[in-house]
This record gives sequence, C-alpha cells and structure tokens, in this order.
Amino acid sequence: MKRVKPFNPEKFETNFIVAVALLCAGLLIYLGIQGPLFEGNIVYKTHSTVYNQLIAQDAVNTFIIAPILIIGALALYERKRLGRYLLVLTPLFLIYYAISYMIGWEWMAMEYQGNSQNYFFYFLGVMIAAILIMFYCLGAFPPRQKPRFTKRILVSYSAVLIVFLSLFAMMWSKEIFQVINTGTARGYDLSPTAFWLVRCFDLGFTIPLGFVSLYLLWVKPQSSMAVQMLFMGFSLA
Amino acid sequence: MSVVVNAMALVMYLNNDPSFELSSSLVFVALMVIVSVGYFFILRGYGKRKLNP
Repeated sequence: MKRVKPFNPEKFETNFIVAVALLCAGLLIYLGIQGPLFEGNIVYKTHSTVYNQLIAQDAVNTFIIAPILIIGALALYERKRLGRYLLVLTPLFLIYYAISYMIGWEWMAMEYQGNSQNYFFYFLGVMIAAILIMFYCLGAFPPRQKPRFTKRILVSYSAVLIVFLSLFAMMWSKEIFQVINTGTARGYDLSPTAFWLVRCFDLGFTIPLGFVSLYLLWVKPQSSMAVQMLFMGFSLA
Repeated sequence: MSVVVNAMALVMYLNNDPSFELSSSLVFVALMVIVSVGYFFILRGYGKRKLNP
C-alpha cells in the first residue's frame, strides 16, 4: 500500500512565500515599466513636479527591491539563510509604497488627470504579498538569538539614531504647524493628499517604529531580531 | 525608505524641482548613513560567532 506523506506546513509555507516573493517582484517590475520611468502608461492624478519622485520610486522598485525579492526567493527555495535576510528587508517598504500609490493622489482635484485606479489590483497584490512575506519573516528568525553588541557602539548608535529620528519628526511637524498657522507649506498647494499621507505615515509609523526597535534592541535583544531586521529593511530601502 | 527618499531628492535636484530643499535632503542622507551603519552593526551583533577552542 502506498504511504501518504504527512502534510508539512513548513515546507508548504516556504514554497508559498517563494512564489509570493517572485510574483511580487514581477508586479513591481511590471508597474515600473508601465510607470513614468519607462512607458508612462500609468498617469497619476497629481502635479507634474511630483513625477520626479515617482520616477525615483519606480527605479528603486525595479532595480533594487525586485532583485532583492528574486534573489531572496531563490535563496529561500534553496533553504539558505540569505533568503530570509533579504526578504525581511522588503515588507514594510512595500506596504508603505502600495498604500501610498493606492490612495495618495489628488482624487478631488479637477485640474489633474490620471488613470492609476486601473492598476489598483496590482498595487493591492503588492500589499498582500508584502503582508504575507512579513508574517513569514517574523517567524523565520530563531526566537532566542544571543546577540553580542559592544556597549560603547550601542550607546553611540542609539544616541545618533535618537537625534536624527527626532530631527526628522521636527522637520515634518514644523511643516504641519506651518499649514495649521498659514494654511499652506512647501508643496502643499500642489498635492495636499500626498503631503498628509507622507507626514501621517512617517510621524505615525516610521518614527515610532524606529524608537520601538531601539527600545527592543536594549531590552529584548534576544527575541527582537525579526523586528530589528524589518525596521532596518524599511529604513534602508 | 532612505535609499528611495535620497533617489527622489537626486531626481528632484537634477530636474530643478522647486520643492527640492537641501536641508531636508541632508537630514535624509545622514539618516541613510546612520541606518546603514546600524544595519551592519546589528547583523554583526546577531551573526554567528566562532567558538573558542
């Protein structure tokens, strides 16, 4: 009688994430080609000067993030440690990107034309893929790593990061107070939705995450490697 | 986000974007340097160590 192999969820999950990461890389490359960097088929409902930023985003997605996903997926398929180290760099960056591109346009402005809504499901696909990769990566790092950080370097790194995260927060807060007091700020009149979206994400997500990861690095370094890598990937990419 | 933000600043600068601001860009360049150093610091901290004989 033929023996039925028991279902191995770990093998299934790993292979599933490999497929998801490759699919996500394909979506990013497709969106990069269709976007303003190459074909210009995707038109975003925003001011033309914002396109400088969109070109840069497409370039980073196509030439940095997609290759990281592809190499990470292939390494994961080969069951190499490199796979999880590469894939963990991408999820938070991709979630930020996908949400921004799905909702961050001037939908009410009659003077701007756009068709990015036609690509909604591609962005949604990137977001779902990123969430799946994130949950996989959170469980992929051993829970009890024994890190060894030099105290002196840890103190210096923490101090410098605190200063610059605070500077970053003050920079965005200053512009928000400017809008509150005067009704406008740099770039605000041209693309107010993008203005609020970026400040909302950075002040409510990026900067708090930076402080949380720093706290965990001091208090729970053994169990926070996945969070450290998620934050580092997000901040770096 | 630092690579993409710095790439954005570079494209804005090259295309004479009026919303380009040098002081903001310098904060992001500094953040990229700090995060890059931090990334290698953390990788090294969590990395495998050779056992003493």
